[in-house]
Amino acid sequence: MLSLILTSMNFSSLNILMVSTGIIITLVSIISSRDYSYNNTYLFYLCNLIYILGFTMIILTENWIIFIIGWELVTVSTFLLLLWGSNKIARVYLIIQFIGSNFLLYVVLMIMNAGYNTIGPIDNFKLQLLLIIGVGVKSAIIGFHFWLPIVHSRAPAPASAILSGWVVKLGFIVLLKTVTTGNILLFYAGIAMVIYAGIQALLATDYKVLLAFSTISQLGFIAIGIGSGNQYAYWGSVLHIIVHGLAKTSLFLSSGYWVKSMKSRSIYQFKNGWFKDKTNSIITILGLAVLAGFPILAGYNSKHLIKYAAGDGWILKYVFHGLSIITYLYVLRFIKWGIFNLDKKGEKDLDEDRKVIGLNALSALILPIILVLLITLRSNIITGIDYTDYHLLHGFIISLIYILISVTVLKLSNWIYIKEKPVPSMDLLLIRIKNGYRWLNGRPKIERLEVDMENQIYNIAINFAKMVYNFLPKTIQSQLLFIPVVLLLLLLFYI
Amino acid sequence: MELLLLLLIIIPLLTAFLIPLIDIINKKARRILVLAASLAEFFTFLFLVINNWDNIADGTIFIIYKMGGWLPPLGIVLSLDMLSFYFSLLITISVMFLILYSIGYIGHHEGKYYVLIFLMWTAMQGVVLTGDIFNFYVFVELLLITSAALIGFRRNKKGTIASIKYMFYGVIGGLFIFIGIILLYSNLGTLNYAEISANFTTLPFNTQGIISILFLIGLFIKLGIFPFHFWVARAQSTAPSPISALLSGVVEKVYIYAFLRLFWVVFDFNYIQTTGLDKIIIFTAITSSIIGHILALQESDLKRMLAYSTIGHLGIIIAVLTVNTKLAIIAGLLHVLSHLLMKISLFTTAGYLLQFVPSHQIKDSRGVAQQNMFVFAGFIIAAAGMMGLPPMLGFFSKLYIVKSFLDNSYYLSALLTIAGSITALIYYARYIIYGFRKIKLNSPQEFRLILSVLYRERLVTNIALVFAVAVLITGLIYKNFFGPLESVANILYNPSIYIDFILGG
Repeated sequence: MLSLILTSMNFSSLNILMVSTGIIITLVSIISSRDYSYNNTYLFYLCNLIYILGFTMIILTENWIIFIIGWELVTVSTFLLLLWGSNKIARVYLIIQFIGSNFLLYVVLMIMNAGYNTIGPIDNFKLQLLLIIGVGVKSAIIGFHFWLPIVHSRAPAPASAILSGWVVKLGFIVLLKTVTTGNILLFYAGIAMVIYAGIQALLATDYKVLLAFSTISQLGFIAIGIGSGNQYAYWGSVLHIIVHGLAKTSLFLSSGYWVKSMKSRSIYQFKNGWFKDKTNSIITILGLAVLAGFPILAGYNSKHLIKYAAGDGWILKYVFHGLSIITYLYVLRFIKWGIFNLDKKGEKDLDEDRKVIGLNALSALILPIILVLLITLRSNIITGIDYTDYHLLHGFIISLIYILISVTVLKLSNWIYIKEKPVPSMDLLLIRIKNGYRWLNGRPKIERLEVDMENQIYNIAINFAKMVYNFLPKTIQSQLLFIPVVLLLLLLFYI
Repeated sequence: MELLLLLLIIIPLLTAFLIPLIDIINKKARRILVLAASLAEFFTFLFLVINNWDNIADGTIFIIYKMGGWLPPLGIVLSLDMLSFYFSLLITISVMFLILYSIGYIGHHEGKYYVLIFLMWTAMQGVVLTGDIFNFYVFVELLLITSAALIGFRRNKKGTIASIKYMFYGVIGGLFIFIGIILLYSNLGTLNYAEISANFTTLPFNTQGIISILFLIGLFIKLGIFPFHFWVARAQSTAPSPISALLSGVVEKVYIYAFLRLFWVVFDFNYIQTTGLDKIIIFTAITSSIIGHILALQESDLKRMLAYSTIGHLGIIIAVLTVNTKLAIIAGLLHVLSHLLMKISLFTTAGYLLQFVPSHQIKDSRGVAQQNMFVFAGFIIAAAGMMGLPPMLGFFSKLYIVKSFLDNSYYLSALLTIAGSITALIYYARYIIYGFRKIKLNSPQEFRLILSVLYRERLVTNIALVFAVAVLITGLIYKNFFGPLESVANILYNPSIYIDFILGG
């Protein structure tokens, strides 16, 4: 099996780049996880190692079966990593991902059945669609994204850094290799993801939920780039996978320290962030600026390239401006509430509870940002486009206009101060579905569930199974009756 | 050299009859006899492998032993080709380990147990090695009687009911096989596999059909495929754990061997394909599989749950073998191996873990992981194989099963296979979660530790772990099984090879 894995590997520059980015993200999260005083440290390292092995197999291999093995390894190892946080979330994650990866297995075998024996461009639109749905669960393509805010916002910070920074990208890396000529449905799904998740992030009151929705929103940009089939947009997606991976890792890790020092996850409770922790503030602002695509940073380059996906149609051009503005809106809103929600009185008694981030954490937070800056300087290596082609001055002006519009909108809406919402969970999702159903029937809403969702679905499954069990005959006389019946049926029809 | 085939049957048979005699002389000598006989059987097989290594490696092994020197159409023959070799290998190794496990689990004071288990071993080797259809029937019935006695071994009400039910089904299944044999003998005048195989197509079309259907129903009853599955859970859950492992892991595989040998080599598989009976077999088997998984989901008793999961997996194996392409047969045979290892591993680990809880109910198994972390890890490994997670062998067999279903446009079967493995995740996870649940140690009344009644605890745990490790290791080297299994598939595709060897050689 080892020889099979090794011979099927393709060490193209793109693959190497992706693997090294993934390894850097994992190492950064391992460094940071030391501050979380884990028990069973060696098991934790082992899980990380299996995870690295898994995604390396996914990215490097050209064999579909090795790809599936890698995919399952990633599912299992990330589930194990989540166990260091909450058991319940880990269970939900495992069940959803296991169903997703089994469906992917089915899809991959269908693709192999159609004659595509190695991972490469697929011309068949239907097969492309099946593959998109197959990777949809892991990569949170709209319609299958429901688990992502729930798991990513409740996982421990290093685990959510890995999940949000890299695991969700794996599906898109496969799509990069297979959907090379574009897929119109992926394109529109991408636009829907950016808009829907962007608005959700704008209305979020919990910092980690905001980050989780922003992940879906940024994945939308990647989907747009791949779905358009435009060559520049395609390279923009490659760049965005790497840049967003690094920036999101840094943001999720820093969110852990924010929550620790603020003792709350609600962004309205983040008071005097700038005074309390200047390093963390600068890193967070830089990370968010990368997401928003501020010029000079690599995020600008990738989004600039993805804009080529719009083509010449004037409507799409305006839509793209709108998509960029959505990102600016939620980024600026967080910067206002989270970092610059300053209180003059609070400045004096800060000295006691000022948190100094340890060297581990600092390196974990700064390393991805430094890498993003480096990529900014050398992104022509990845995309083959000269640095001067990015129209920086134009970008500056456009970005300033974006910021102006965003600030005006936010100012007018009082920086979107809304009532604090509960952290999303499977239960809330079920309540929403149930209320929708009750609304159709004209019945009053329910506020909470009597039994939580996991148990409810489990009970439904068990009750169904019990129904099947009770449907079957119980007495031995009736059980034995099946034998002559089946015999007679077979003899009647086949003789 | 040919005598080794006879020895494989004779050694356990003689041991079974020697055990009561030795009991009269000295009860302690029996321990040595049981150990020595199981090792002797193993080394006989090893000797066979070493002597014929070249033939086994290129898949051309063929050994024939003529009983009493009579030539094939008249006398009974024992024969070993690649198909029998594969199943005989599985039986020899797994039963040897299970007897060692029994030594730790049941102890040495029960002489009858070892008599019966050695007779079972004889019967299984006999079914696999024989080349005569009536001899096959005799061994199948011997297997039935001995296993029925072992199911009722605890001599309580539950065990007796299970045993009688098992007997009912087994005897009716055997009866169908027996009627089929009578029809064969009255029409062809021979009982030899090769002779029947050579002349089967000369029979009238309807007679072929009746014989095929009778054997099919007989085997389905013995396998416990859906409308005939009612004995499975009761029988496999009330038997002692090593016997459950034997029934679920090995005895069912013996019937799968019979299914392959009879329908591919002895009867013409073309008949089944031309009449469209294979579609019915696949439909029944897949329905059986999903119903097995659903029944496992609602079960609150651990051993019954494992037994229902056996129905689920046997259905898949039968369905994929009936697809009848080379890849499908390889996938089915691979799943035979993986299911054997996983089920034995699950039953042996469960047998150990159930010693520490008040009942077999899943909700009583709280905190069982604390008793022995390694054995519990073994259970998890085997369960992960059942769900189909890499790098366990269960993943690769599931993968190739789904692939061969899809290659032949059985899309629904592929989906149901996947649905089964998702169901498996839910019902195994339930036990594992209960196992990890912490027990409050400050209230000793709540946690009633039942003292282990095992005789050799280390032996039991080690053998349970051997199978769990085997699940893991075979998964890492799964590619190496493809060569030998392909030669097994060749035997099934070309019955003429078998006929020529028996009648011409």
